[in-house]
Amino acid sequence: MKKILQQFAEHEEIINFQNVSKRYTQGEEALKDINFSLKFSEMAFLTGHSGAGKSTLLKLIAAMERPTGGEIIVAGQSIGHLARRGVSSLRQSLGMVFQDPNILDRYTVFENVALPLLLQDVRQRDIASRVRAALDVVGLLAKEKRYPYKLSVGERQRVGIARAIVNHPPLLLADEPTGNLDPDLAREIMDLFTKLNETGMSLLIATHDLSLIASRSNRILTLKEGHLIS
Amino acid sequence: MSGFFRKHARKHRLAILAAALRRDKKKNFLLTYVGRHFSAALTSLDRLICTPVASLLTIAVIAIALSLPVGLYVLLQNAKYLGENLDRGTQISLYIKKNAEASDIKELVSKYQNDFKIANVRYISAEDGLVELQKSIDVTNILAELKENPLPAVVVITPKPAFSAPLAVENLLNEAKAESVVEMVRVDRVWLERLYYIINLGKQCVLALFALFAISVILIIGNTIRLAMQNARTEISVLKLIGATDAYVRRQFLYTGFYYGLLSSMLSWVIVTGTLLWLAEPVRRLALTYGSNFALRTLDWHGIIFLWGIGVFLGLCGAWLAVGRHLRKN
Repeated sequence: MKKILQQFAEHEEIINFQNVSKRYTQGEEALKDINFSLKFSEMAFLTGHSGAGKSTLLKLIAAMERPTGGEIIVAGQSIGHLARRGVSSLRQSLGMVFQDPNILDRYTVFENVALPLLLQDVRQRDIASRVRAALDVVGLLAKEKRYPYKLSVGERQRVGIARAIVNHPPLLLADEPTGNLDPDLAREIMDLFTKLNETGMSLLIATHDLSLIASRSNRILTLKEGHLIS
Repeated sequence: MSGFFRKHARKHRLAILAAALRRDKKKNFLLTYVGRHFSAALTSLDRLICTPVASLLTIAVIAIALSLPVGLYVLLQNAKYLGENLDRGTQISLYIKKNAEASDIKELVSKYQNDFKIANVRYISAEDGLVELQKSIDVTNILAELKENPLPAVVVITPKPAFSAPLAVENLLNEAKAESVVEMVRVDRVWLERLYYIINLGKQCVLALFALFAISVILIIGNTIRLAMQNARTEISVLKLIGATDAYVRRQFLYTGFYYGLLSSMLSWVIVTGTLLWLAEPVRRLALTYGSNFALRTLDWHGIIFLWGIGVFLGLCGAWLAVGRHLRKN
């Protein structure tokens, strides 16, 4: 176990983009020659106008899109040519938060948060304690039996975050997590991300809301028309 | 070579890291396996129950499609049973020559008794034959005019069912004719042959029909599951986003196919059995007019297990096709 951790620590970079470009089939080039890396336990913001390629960049890391050029290395392994099973294992160990929380209305809050654990064959008795721990972090412990359609927008977003962190991923990607929220709630969520970062989690957060991140000391990556201008 | 393995690795290094950080314990393979199936079975059942009317209609359609060939099969089994009953009557009568020696007849009888193809041998001497004849009709007057017993001695042999096919009976006949003590051989063969061929024809028809209906059942279940997956499209895409494997999604819908197959074959058993019970009384009455106490037989437990097995198999086939298509497209 120690050996594995050591191996990873040597690489020191959880995300590494090498000359990555992405061109959609329609011909528009979304990302051009991107080079950057995110260290272990680092939290960075990704900003830029809408359409600058923030979502595309995050999608590339989660293998939802494939780059048309260059190489993406996550935790020391390229994800460019992963087989389907490998893509699944990558996503299982990533936490992802979306602007639309992508939670399922058919299931209760508890069941939604438990989904990643079910995918990874976590034992039933461990599921309850881990789900409640995640719900506690986002402050929704009292509403675990509710159905998502009865929740407010902010609460739904927090269910999405609880689902993303329930499995203690080493890396969390967030795409406009505060896009639908009022400023107070948005700040609360950002504080939550900072708290998670303090536990050793690496985070890459895409947001166009500069006022929200200006006061923070984290690194800011800025995308403009597909180019990275740091 | 190592590059190949890395590219096609089942686990990404990030997953290994995550597991190490969580201090995951090694999982019990069997427990994991059972747990996966249990949760898939439950999720799938939940989906089925969510739309009870639609599910019931589908099950009814599949059950009816299954009932036709199964019903025909049962009727055919009955015909075969009836045929076997008649086989007990398909006896070959060997009329013995008048001047045959008693020892020769004895030899013939024991020869047939030791023949593995023969189920039963009965020797009726001329005297016994006469007694039997007198039992059924009054022949005293006729006999009085005859000086001696006009009846020949008869050896009646019954071939085993396995040797009742027309060709085997033909062989037996030829063998019997060659015996020196045998005057004449008689068998009610045309009838036997016809029945045999009719049952064979029926078997082929049921097989062809069954193939057709099996394909239609696969298509019905496949289409139902295709629609179910379409309805659950957002759910599937969210599951894929958080790292569900193809196998995870497939398992859930294979269980849907399993349920459809099992429940509809059970319903089809009810339909077939119900129909047979309904027919039982008229059949019994008809049989009575022929002096037979033949009663319709329903599906035996072999048949029931076979039917349910086939239902489950077809359900899984249909589900596999639909899920494979969906996963390849998305």
